[in-house]
Amino acid sequence: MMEHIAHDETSFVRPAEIGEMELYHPKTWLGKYVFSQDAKTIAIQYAATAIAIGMVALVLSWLMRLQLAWPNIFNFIDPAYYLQAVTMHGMIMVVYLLTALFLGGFGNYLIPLMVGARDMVFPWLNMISFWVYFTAVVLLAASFFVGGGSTGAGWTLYPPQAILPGTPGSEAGILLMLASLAVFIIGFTMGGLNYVVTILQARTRGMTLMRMPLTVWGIFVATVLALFAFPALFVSAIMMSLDVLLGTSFFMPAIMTMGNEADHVGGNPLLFQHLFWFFGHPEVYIVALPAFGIVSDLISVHARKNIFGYRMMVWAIVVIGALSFVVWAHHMYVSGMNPYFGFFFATTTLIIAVPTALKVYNWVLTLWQGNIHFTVPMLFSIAFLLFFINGGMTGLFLGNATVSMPLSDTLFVVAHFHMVMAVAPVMVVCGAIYHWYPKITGRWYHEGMARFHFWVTFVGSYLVFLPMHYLGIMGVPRRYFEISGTTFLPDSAQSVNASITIAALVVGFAQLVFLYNLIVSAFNGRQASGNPWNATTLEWQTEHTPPEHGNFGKELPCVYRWAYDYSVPGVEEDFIPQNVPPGNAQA
Amino acid sequence: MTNIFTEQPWIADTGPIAPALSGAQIAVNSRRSALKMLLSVVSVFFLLMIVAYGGRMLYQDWRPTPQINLLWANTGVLLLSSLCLQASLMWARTGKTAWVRGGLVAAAVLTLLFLVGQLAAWQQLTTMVLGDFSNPSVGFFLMITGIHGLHMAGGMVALTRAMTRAFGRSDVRSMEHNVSNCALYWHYLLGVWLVVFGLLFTGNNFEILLRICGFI
Amino acid sequence: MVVAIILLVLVLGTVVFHVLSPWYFTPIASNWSSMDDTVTLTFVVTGLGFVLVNLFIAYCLIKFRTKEGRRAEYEPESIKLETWLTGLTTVAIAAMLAPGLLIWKDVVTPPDEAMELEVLARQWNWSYRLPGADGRLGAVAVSHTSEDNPLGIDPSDPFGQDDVIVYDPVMHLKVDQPVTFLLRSNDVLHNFTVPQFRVKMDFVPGQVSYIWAEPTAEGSYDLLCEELCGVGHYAMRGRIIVDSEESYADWLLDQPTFAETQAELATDLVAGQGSYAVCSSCHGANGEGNQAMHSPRLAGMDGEYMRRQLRHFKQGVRGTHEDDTWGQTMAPMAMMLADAAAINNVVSYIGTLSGQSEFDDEAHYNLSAAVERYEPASSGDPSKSAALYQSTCAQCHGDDGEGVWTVNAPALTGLDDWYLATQIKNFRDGIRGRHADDLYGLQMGLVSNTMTTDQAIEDMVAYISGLENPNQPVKLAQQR
Repeated sequence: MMEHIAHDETSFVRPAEIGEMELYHPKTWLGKYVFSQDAKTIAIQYAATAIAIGMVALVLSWLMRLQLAWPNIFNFIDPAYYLQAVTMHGMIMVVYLLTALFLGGFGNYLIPLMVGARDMVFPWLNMISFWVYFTAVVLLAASFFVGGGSTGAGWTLYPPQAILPGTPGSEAGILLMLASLAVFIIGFTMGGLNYVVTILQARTRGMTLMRMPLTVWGIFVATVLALFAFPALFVSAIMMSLDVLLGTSFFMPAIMTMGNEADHVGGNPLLFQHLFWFFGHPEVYIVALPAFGIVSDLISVHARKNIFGYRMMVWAIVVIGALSFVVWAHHMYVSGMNPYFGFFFATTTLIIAVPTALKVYNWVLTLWQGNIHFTVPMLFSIAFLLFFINGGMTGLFLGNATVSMPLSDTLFVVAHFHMVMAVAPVMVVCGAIYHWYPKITGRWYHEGMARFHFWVTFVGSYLVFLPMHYLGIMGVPRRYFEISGTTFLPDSAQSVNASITIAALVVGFAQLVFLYNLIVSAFNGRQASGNPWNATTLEWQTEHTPPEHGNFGKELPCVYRWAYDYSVPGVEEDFIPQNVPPGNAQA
Repeated sequence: MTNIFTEQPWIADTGPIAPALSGAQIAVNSRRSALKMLLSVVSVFFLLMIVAYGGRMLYQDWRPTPQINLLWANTGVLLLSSLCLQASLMWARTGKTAWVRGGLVAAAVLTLLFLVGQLAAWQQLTTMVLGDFSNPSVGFFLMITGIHGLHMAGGMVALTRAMTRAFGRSDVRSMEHNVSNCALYWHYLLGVWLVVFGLLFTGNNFEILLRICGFI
Repeated sequence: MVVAIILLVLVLGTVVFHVLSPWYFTPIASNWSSMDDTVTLTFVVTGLGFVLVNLFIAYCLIKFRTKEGRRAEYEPESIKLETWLTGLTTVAIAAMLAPGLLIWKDVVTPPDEAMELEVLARQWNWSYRLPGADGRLGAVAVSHTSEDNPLGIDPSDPFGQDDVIVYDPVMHLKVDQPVTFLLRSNDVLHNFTVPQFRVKMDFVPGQVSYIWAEPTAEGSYDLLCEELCGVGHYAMRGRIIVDSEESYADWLLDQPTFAETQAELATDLVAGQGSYAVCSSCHGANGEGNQAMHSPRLAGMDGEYMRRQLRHFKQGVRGTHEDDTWGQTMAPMAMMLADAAAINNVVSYIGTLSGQSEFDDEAHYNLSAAVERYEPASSGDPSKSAALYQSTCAQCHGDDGEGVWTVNAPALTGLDDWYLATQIKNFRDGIRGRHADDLYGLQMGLVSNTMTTDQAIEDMVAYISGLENPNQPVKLAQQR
């Protein structure tokens, strides 16, 4: 490793000039493409795995929607199967798709490039991190095939039901789920330490923290959140596994099950909920903060204008991240916890809306007086704004204990969190993929297919989730296999459900077009230049496109300015890359 | 580096730019930084378990953890292994190769002894009256000691690496940071153990603490 | 440009949809109109913010779209503007939070005059308990729970003796009388939701949670479980009937106390045998049933199930659907049983019957086959229904069709195949189990919806016929 270089405090030699700086050199095909230690390859592996398992979750959502729209027509969907689909859809989308894609995918690709490093600081650990994640995905997928099937306890996995008969997959399914989560967390911790330390230690010269692009800030704070939040899930997964395997009573009080008294005494189911949401709420921001960061950069680049209020944007990310640890029990207003907690958590929850709103204002003010190019990434950013504002507003309903009470556990909640942490981040994912696609592949995606994908996804997703709020307001509970037999719901509720399903299926198929475009264009697309968007950040200033291993050529770039020098007065070009020294900008 | 609170990032640099660190220095700093980060994550992990323990303890049916005297001996062993590492670190700084090697081996042996001792404590526990799994404090005991033990076992990987290096090279000064990282990790886990042991597994200290703080 | 117009359409469409669509809260029937007011307030404030910000975006998109020679302004930040916007947002948020917190105080503080009502939830049904004359609920424990004492009341606690037991998912409340619902679960998490009351709260096993409301309008309301509690979650329905003061008092008179339910356990077999004389003309002297008369075999049928069905026939909950010809025949027969004690007696007597046919001749069966709606279950393929039985039916009726008493699901083994098939079909087609107060019937109806074809029902019956119930070693076929 590194010890052959003399450890000498005074020898400040630029890495590129120290011969080869510890770059990993694959010797075999396996080492280059499978067990690669290059962050960019690992990023693509992460993204591909996440999207693959995400497609499974997408198909599960179609099955759910089919049942809800036309109950009992598709008779391979029985109540148990439905609950399994609900559970696996949620868990895969939140943890295995979005978390892995934003941090493992975008984080790996963008952090070293954007901070001007040759690679992550621990490339080997990075490679292991991916394969541990991959193992977690395999364990998760395996649970579909074991006896009793995957768990159907809802993605929240609440005990006691998660481990009792009466819930699908309460034997092998739940244990595999818990094992998979534990493995995921171990893998993530390896990756997460890597991302954080790379940002803290391996930034290039001149790249102060306040000059980092907001993308890096978003991923950085999200990673820190994840590092501190996942242990709660890890602990609860261990405790629940012990309850099953050893018969301990962490979460299991004295109960009856299937007509008989169970062996447990004195456990506390609410303890699990507190632990789960201590993880679960930061998890929302683990998904949202990278999206916030990325969308800031997309808007800035494609509006040719500096992000408005960069400093506030940074501090808002940090404050949101910190506050996200003291709002968890707003998921538990009707959980049976001491209801007096409601005062505290309603207040903290609504406070968190203030920095979030400020972020929205600053995105909008970045558009103001901009020079807006309606590129595909920009279109997706605009879509993000609509969904995020909508979902953020409904968050004010659900965060406020009193207002949330009639709405909790209904489809209103489902609509809210899909708007704010499913569709909105996915808009950013799509925008970001289109934005960086020319850099990652060196080729252009098919513009027509991309626009088709955008319009269907944008309008379609809105048609899916807007009416869903009103089903919730009417009182349709979530996680119901079907809603017939009630006296308070009008028959038209069922037609709303059917229309949602039709829109959802259309949106789902548009994602297939997206994938087709990504795969085919990687081989057939038009060649892209190194900096097609005229962007300032370092990843666009690499010598090669796609960047070669080591990212930058012989010499690492030196940073002289922030990432948002767009349309600077007195400069002819409307952008100045971060590595352009002050004197050279006028040219 | 300018102050992140007052920096106005849109103002471009005009003065000289800070010199870059060498790749080796980046690697050393990164490991230290990653270790500190890891330890803070581990802190959250143990803190959550202690909080869960406290929350569970307030229920009426709580039965205290059985007292196992062997744990006192184990604590002493862990303390010694931590001291060995601290000594190795000092010897590494002054270049006493043989001493470093001896210190590392001693630390490793003591750590293994600690782990064996913990297993023996489990063994004892299962034979005790209160040792059935339906007793929540037994569940907590198994979980917390088990996870602590796994962390020690994980540390053994790093310690083994440090040992191979110490035995494979004559100059131990260049591996000072390896020893230093091991020492930090051991001290930290010793600290965790002392907190966990003192608070949860010796008498009713945690309850007394909660009482003093007014939670009960 | 197009995106700006589409954005405008979506945003304005949202507003129009909100104002014009018929889909909104179901009319309120409790004191919590203040809760609705906070929702309305939040809609106004957030709606305003939503529209304004999006209109501004659309304006920017149109005004500042790229064109030849356009160049963006350069403005790193404006602390003043950001401070103003933050301040305004804070004010708006405080305006929503403050009333929320004030009303939350009411939500968590039941008034002194509130009446206590314990709701016991378990997979997947509801029962209720009122404090008796002494005004105090007796102690309960999971360990006391049994078929004879389904609510788990401590028999040694004097306060429990006069507790009023409602062992049925239908509960009555008095209008304008505040109620504190004490929520207790025996197995997993559940949730108490009456959409018209607005408030809801989870049940957590091992503790008692609470919520309170004052019903303000007479009527019959759905009670839903809104916390995922297993396969039967969506079918865990109850009913809350809000009565006038008089009808509530009448209803209350009919409800047994705990002491009474325990006393009724000692049944009079002789009296039961007397009452059974009427039954035997159709169901046979030994309870063996008579297919020709569409009378199911009674011997081996679950006791609690029979009591409930007789009650339902008596109350007009079952046997009133116009297509339920045989149920209509049964209903007047059940009327002949005067009270709960009579029902108990006859059910106990049926429990002693052998189910042996008096004349065991093939011709008898062949005769009845001609009038059957169904082919015998031999036409079904049990392998096709095994998956559905195991994933869904077994959750209530048990892996071996032995029935699970806490779910109030009767044993399925020992029933005639033709009878099973008819009943499942009746459940599915809404001929049985659709009366508003027949929540178990609804449950079964919802589940039988998954068997869309008659063949699926035949397959299921064939599967059930093959089950080996450990509690009922002698199978029906062998008896024949």
